[in-house]
Amino acid sequence: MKILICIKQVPDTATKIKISENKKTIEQTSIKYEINPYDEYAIEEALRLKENDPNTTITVMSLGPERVKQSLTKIIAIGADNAIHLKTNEDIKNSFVVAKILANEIKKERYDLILFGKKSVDQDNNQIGIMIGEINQIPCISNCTEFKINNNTITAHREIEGAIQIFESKLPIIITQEKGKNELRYPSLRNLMAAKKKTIESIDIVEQINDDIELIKLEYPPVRKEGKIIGEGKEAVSELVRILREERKII
Amino acid sequence: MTGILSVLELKNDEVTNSSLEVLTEAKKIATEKKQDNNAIVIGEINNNNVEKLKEYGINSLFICSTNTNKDGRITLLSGYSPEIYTMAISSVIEIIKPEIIIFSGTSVGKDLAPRIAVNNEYSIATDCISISVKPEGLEVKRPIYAGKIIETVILKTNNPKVISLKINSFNIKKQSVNEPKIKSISSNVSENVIQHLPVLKETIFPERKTLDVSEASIIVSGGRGMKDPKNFNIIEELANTLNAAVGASRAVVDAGWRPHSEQVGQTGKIVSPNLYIACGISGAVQHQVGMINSKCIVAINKDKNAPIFKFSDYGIVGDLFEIVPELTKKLKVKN
Repeated sequence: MKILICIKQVPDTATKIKISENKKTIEQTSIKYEINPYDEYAIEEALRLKENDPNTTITVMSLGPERVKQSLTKIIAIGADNAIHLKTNEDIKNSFVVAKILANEIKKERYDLILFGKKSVDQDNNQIGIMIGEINQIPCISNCTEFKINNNTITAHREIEGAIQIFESKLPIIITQEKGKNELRYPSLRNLMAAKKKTIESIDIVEQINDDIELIKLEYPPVRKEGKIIGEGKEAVSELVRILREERKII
Repeated sequence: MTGILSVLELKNDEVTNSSLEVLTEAKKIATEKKQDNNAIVIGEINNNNVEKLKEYGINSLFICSTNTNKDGRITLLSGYSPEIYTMAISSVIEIIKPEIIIFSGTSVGKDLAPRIAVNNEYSIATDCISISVKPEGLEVKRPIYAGKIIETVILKTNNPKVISLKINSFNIKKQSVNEPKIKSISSNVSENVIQHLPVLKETIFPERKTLDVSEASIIVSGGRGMKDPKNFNIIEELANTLNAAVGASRAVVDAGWRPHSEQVGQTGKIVSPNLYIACGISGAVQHQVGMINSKCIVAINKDKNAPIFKFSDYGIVGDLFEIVPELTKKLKVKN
């Protein structure tokens, strides 16, 4: 089986995001870039499939600037076979443009299973994997917490509001991964050193312009003003109930 | 290219509240742009719900509850199928050629909006929290970086637009009753194609009927301070008393104490209920971004320096194992 995982680097979720003076970009200096958390869950699922079926090959692909190479190397160190870097000067924001570039590269090979994180935690679009499915005419099941593959058939658990939908499909398929049960493993130092010697295929991407959507500004959400401590221990409960019932009228 | 198309969703035979948010916003835009306000609902909708929809100022309501095969055979649509739903919406788009298509930011809307956008080359903005009509186009605000930043973008006029609304972010407002034109349509996906599409085999609901954090108007959440998964019974009791959903911090989900569906935060759900009660949650950035837009936040924590108190409306410092049951008791008395 041939698996492809598409990953993106995003600011570490604990990073404080600072808006630049131009109000249109974010300050890059203090940011530590990591693999998008949902992509990590997808990678771990792929590695487990490979453990069960040694005939599996895993290719990992990423669109982004030079820095994404570091993440690709890390994924090779934990078990991916190949990596493809679609090189740009900076992250492309327009989801349409991103989907088209990736769809075009993905088309060059026949993959049985193509994995994406359900969204990247920077732009929070929830779009790319689904769009690529439409462009390349490959069915896509989004938001999956887990899946298993048996004889060319995939059974996937799609998380919806208050329930899980079980979908079944033939391969090839695109899955967008929700947070799963299995955390991504760490590379050993030895494997990491070995992975650094491996060549990462690099393809220069000519950035296409799509000005359908224009960014006006970035701003911080309104600051919540600090509330008050009503009191200590269970003696304070009556006052809380009174406030919620009489002042705020929310219960 | 004119008019609005709202994509409505049904849950347990009812039009969802997030669909009513969509309709309210659609009516506002339609009035401002002096355009037709249309809606589509996929699945079987009963008369009560059609009546209900008459209060939202819809001009034409498209109902798609069947699929027609190439040979003319008609079958009822059963269960969610992204491809068939996409086809149904596309066939309405072909009829009315709308300028703006609005989805809810639900699991269905999130799945369908990108399909509609990419197939038609429309511009798209998901999970919007405000929309305004501008001469240059449609201006929307949407949270990025899990809500650490709000971006304002304009979807320019030269192209139809697809947007989805973040749930619980808009008001629901009824209009005076009007009679929409009701048009039944059928999707046209041939059986050969259907055979190759993913099929929904089964929907599994949790054993105990629970509310989902993304839809609940009150959430009671527990964190590491709960000390043991068994102790969540006091959270569940409080939640039951308030008809609330149970939420959880990343720490307790990662520890396997609670399911991921309950996780509130950057890699869980981003919620904005009327009331959020955080019990034994310190308030790390990861969690904060998931609940900061709640209308009222109450924190119960033994550490008076816990960050959660910095962005809570009301706090009680102390032992949650005393405070939470006491709160449940007090609420039961008057309810």
